[in-house]
Amino acid sequence: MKLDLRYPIGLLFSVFGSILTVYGIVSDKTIYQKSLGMDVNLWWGLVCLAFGLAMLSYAVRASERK
Amino acid sequence: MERIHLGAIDYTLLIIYFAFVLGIGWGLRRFVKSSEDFFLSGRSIPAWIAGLAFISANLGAQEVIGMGASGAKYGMMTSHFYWVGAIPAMVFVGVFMMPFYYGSRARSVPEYLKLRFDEKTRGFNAITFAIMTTFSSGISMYALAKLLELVLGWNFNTSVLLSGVIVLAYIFLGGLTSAIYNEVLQFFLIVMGFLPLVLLGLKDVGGWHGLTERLATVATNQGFAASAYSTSWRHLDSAAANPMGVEWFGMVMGLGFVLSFGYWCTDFLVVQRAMAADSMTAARRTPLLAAFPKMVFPLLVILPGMLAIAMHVTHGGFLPLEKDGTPNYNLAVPVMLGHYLPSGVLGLGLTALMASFMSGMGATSRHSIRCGRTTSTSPTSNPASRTRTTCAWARRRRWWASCSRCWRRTPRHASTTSWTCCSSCSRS
Amino acid sequence: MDMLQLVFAFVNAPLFATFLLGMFWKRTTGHGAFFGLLTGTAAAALHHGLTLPHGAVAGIKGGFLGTVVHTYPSEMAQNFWSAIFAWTACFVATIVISLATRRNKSDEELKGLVYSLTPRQKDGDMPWFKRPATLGVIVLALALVLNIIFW
Repeated sequence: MKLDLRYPIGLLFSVFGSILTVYGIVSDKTIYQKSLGMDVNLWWGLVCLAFGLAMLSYAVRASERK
Repeated sequence: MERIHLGAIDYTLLIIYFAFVLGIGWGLRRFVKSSEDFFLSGRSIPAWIAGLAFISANLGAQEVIGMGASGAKYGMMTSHFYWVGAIPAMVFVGVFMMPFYYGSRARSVPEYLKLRFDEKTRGFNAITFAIMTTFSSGISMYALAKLLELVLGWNFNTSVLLSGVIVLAYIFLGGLTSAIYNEVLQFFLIVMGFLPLVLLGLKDVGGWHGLTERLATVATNQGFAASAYSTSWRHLDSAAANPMGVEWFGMVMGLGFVLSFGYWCTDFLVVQRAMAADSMTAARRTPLLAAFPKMVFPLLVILPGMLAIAMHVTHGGFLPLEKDGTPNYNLAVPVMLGHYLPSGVLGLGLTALMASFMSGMGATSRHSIRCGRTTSTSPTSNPASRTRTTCAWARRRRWWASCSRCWRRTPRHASTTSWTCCSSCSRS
Repeated sequence: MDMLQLVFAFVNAPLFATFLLGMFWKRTTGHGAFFGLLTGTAAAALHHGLTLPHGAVAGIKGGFLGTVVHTYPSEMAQNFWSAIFAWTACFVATIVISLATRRNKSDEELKGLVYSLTPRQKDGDMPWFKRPATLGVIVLALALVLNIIFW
């Protein structure tokens, strides 16, 4: 595996993002009372996932450029 | 105080993170032959990542929890730790000090003292430095254990043991590499873990305006002017006018000059990064680039504290109280996490907290490994014959020494207290 | 957080004065540095022992030298002033003692360790927007703006 730091960062957040998104979809909606009614897990999961994928694609492009 | 209940998903996220860090550290050891390999990755790592490594290396639990606590205790003035107490010093280091460190023969703070002055100066510094790092680590471990106990209900002694084991484990397994990776990962974790909290909190109080209104109550309750908790300079004309109790001279001279320059200019991390950079320009740019995220951090770590005290005073009973009736400021951040975040993102926030603790410990232990005596057999020519000794503290803990140039671990020499720098270091 | 800044005031503050003098003044001697550090640390201890933050009990938070000369509104204020005293004491003591003792290192030995004896950095051939100095100015300007916004 290339030493590029963007890979583990991207991977970790993609994994976290996916887990959170899935949990956000399947979880019992009453727990979101404390977060002002918003399904934070779903939304933030998507944000994390987007970030993780962005990092990974950045890393892949950098290694292709080399 | 409501105890935080962690769900299975929270533990899952935490375990995944640990597995990630340890696994990567393990896998990486084969690839890292020199610190340049890491920081520059064959010169394909952009300078912004080097800057992040720089800032993350000094980020620890003290910052995350401590700044939140200070935000609750002192309000917006806490931002001075960043905008007065860090940024000017970082700029100074980047523009003036880096060329100096890079060009000097010294490879560490104690070594500089020995070369520039004499052995007794170096010795004195080594002692005080060891005391400081012991305190620093002790405070970190205590804070973590206390947190785990109060917030999760775990036994205090077990928590201390647990935090120690975690740190030892990843340092032992992955060494410096794992520690450094952890630091940069942790930066992103903190951003992603705390941002939802800040956004939700602000939404709940009605934005910055709503926050200022509530903070006015906090301020007037204590006899200050209404904006004392939400402004940073306005009330610095006299020590009695603001919650931190300093007037502008004490702030600028004490924090802005002495404490912050003293930290950023003499801290070992700076010298390490200077050593690691291959080009002078990269070395100079690193603290400058690190200054950008550093400027934004107050919004992430101080705001939760300010939100907490605002809620505490206007809603009552938000923060648990100490024995003397004052709110327990150190719990500002954990209480906020538990209040706003449901299981899921809660696990993310908690993972960010744990990561910050671990990184703080990792950095400290790396310092102590290199804080001791340096003896040179042939001072100039052959790097392989330079020997380095480590301070007694690190030796007692039986941590591995690392050649400070290539980070490769070298085994202890049986008879003497010196480690030979590995002969594969080709860097002159 | 307060405790940490206290430790910094004891250790980093005097050390910074020593570094400043060591790096920018070649007349600084070994004795000057050592006794300067001692003086600085002692000054921090003295200051901490003679003052107390408001509402605190004498002990680890200060006031352990018997009398309390000054009460600070907060622990943080006490820390800042400890740092100031420590730095100033170390700075002055180092200068005085250095002037009173002989230099222990020659110019040749100090090359690379003192600013005036180290080759300067030349940024001349870089375009202006890539120079570290430019970046530094931008950073400072942004920090200034933030300070103004939250004035």
